[in-house]
Amino acid sequence: MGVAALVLGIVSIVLGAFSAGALGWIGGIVGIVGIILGALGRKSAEVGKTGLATAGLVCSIIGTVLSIILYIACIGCAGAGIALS
Amino acid sequence: MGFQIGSFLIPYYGFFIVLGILVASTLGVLRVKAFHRDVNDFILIAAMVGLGGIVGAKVLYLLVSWRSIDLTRLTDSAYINSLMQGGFVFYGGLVGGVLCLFLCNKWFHVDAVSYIEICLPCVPLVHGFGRLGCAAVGCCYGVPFSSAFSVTYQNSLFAPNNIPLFPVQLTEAVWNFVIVLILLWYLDVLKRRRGLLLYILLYAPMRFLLEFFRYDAERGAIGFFSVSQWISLLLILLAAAMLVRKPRSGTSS
Repeated sequence: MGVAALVLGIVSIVLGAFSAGALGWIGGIVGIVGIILGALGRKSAEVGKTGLATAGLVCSIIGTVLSIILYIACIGCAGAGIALS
Repeated sequence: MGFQIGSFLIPYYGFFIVLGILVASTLGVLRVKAFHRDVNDFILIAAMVGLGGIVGAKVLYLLVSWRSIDLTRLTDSAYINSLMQGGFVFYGGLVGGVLCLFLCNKWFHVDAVSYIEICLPCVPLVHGFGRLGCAAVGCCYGVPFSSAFSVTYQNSLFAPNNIPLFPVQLTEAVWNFVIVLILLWYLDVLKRRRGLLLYILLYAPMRFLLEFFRYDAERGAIGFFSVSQWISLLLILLAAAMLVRKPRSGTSS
């Protein structure tokens, strides 16, 4: 779980920061899945061995935040996407 | 519309929604610790609800605006991206989030329902910040309205510029923050339960009324009312029916 969370976290950071708007929404979804796996990894790890899962969790949170802050245009606003297209 | 940090343009909406998520997460973690619950479970539930919320809000948006979607361009990646970037409907997110909450129970054996009361004030908190983002960029704008409280946009991509409008986004944002305070008082000071019903009964009637003051055209309508108004009515009826039912002992909402 921890390794998968770390990989997804790094992928979401890359997608969020460097895709220039094209893949930000995918970065957000990948990041959230990474957060889920990170939390599961921390729950299932032995005491004192949660480092990898925590690293995955933190990377996934950063990737999700980057993706969302840069690319979500408007929640609650039907029509925003159409107006932009 | 946004502000620049180095070479990155930070859109106002993204900034406000992330700010809302961070503030609500902090509040959620503090409340989970205060109630001596597992923070990992809270993170898991929050992520699942967030995922369900995004998917649900997008699906309802696509359903209510299907007439505006050019089906012949669905193979065009730029068009798909523009559809995915903007346009979400809150009620779809609410339904998607609740569904994922129950999936949390089923898949991960986390007692997610018991976290509803603890984390409930986080929902209107994020929603309120989202509405501040709407107000900043000018989407979800109100009807033309001349008064001291009117909002006039100069460079909005969404709202009609240079026309005084009813501040419908700010009104909803303020009401969401008031709901947060009421819920905290109800759950923590009065130590009462069934907060979810209170939330629905506080939010849905206001949303129903505010829809009459919305002026953005791209919202689905069925008969006299918009889709959100129909969902508001349905939620009010469901909440009222559950309220008159005597709660079973041990149920939280």
